Amino acid sequence: MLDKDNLLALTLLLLLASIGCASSHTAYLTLPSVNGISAYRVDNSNGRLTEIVGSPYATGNSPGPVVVDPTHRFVWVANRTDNTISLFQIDSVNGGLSEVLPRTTTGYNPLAMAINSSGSFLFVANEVSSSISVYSINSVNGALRAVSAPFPTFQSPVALAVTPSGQYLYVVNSNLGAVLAYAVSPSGTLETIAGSPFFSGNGASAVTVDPKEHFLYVVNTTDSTVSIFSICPYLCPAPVNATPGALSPVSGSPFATGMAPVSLALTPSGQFLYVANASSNNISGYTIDPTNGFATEITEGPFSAGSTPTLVVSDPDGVYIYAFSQTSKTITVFTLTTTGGEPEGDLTNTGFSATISQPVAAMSVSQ
Amino acid sequence: MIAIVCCFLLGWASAALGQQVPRFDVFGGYSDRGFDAKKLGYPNYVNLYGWNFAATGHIFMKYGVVVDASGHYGSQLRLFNYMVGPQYTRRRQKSDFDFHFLYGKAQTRVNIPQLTRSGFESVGRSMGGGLDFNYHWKPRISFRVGADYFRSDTFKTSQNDARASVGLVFHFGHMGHRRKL
Repeated sequence: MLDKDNLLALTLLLLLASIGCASSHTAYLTLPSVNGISAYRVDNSNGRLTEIVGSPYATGNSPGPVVVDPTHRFVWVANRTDNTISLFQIDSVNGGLSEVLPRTTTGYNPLAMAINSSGSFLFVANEVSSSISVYSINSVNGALRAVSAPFPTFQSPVALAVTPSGQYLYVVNSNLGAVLAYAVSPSGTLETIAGSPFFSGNGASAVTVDPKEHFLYVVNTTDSTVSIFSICPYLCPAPVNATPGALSPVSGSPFATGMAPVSLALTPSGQFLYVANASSNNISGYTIDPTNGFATEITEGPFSAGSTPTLVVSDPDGVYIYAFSQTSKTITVFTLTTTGGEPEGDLTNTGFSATISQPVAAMSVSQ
Repeated sequence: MIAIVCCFLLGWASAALGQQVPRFDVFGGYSDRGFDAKKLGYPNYVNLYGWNFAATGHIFMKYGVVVDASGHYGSQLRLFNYMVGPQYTRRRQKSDFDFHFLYGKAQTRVNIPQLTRSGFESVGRSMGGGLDFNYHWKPRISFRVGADYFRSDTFKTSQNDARASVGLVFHFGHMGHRRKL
């Protein structure tokens, strides 16, 4: 019965039925001009971005900062002109989003958000209210509950970062050009750390912390520098080292960047730091000495990143760097060059890009 | 144009000289579809299961027109295709092969509940082709295994899908000389 023709037919059937699979991340971008959040699938094998069906999803007015919880079940978006926070459930199959009402009220113009690594607290910097709102997160449904009244801070907080242990919160104040340091209690209340604020540089605007909780990085837009601090007690000289969570500039800090740095990304290993220079249209790369935090600029850089790069983000595996050009509304995908399997820090444009067609306020890449 | 005319002449000649074949075929069966869900932001291709129906009108001994409809279902995805196209049949004693080209509509539904609606739907062009192997089980019934490739344009992207179907074909009417059964 199975002659040559029949065998050919069965072979074709098997070929057509064959399927493939690949691992991936998801990325979420807030689009303030259309009051939405876009969701993208990021292919781990090449960094390519594919928009998830149904995206963009509606948010409140003028969505800004976005964070994803560590278990990858929830996304929170701060709606800057609504003064609310939207909660979205992440679809476990395709990464799409479904908003869960009601939205949570916060202070005026929520400009930055951060979540601790255990996913128990969400911190919000309210720029006009000059306050920090702290919410405990319901681990079952992602709902937010304010732990207390907002904590007053210096005028115009613009960025914040929480350490991996969740013990310290750092708030960048652009007007002061400084970082305010807070100790986070187990109940989520904040207490100012002695010596705070710590001067960073003029126009301080973005901040991140290394995964070992040794160093804090702040870009100073007006000065065109990046400041690097050690987080006490690591490497702190006396008497500052007696105050855990206090900041001490590392030797050589601040380090020069391109013109008008506005965003920074640290690879998950803490080995490489990238800074988006909005006016020089490129990305500066640095190798970080893990012992003393000294930043050495990568000689192959700076890396061209389109006109007016305003966001730079690392993927969770430290393989790709994403840069968003505010002028061309395009995300460019870079990969870290490796030698013998070890990343060297210089960036290679993968040739993949995603045109967003809208201004992007923030971007978060999750597992 | 000359090639098309030649094909029809050959088909007419086959009908005139050859054995009896059915005028109409109706197929129904189970279908499995490998869907290019990555184009919609899913992490992987997905396999969907459903049905496939097709009706073929044999204009000549070897040439006909096929109308094809299929539906495939997953936990979030519902896919429907409604297509039509020409078919060439290579006939043998106990079996035959159908080669067809299909063109029509694809309808893709994605069920991700939102605040104001239950999901998303898109309708677009679909085209493709494939082959069927028919084994003549009874004089009026054949067993069919078929495979198709589709390119569908929904949700502003193109998906490249594969479909496999199995089922029964029922033959109606006849054309040409009656075959000894």
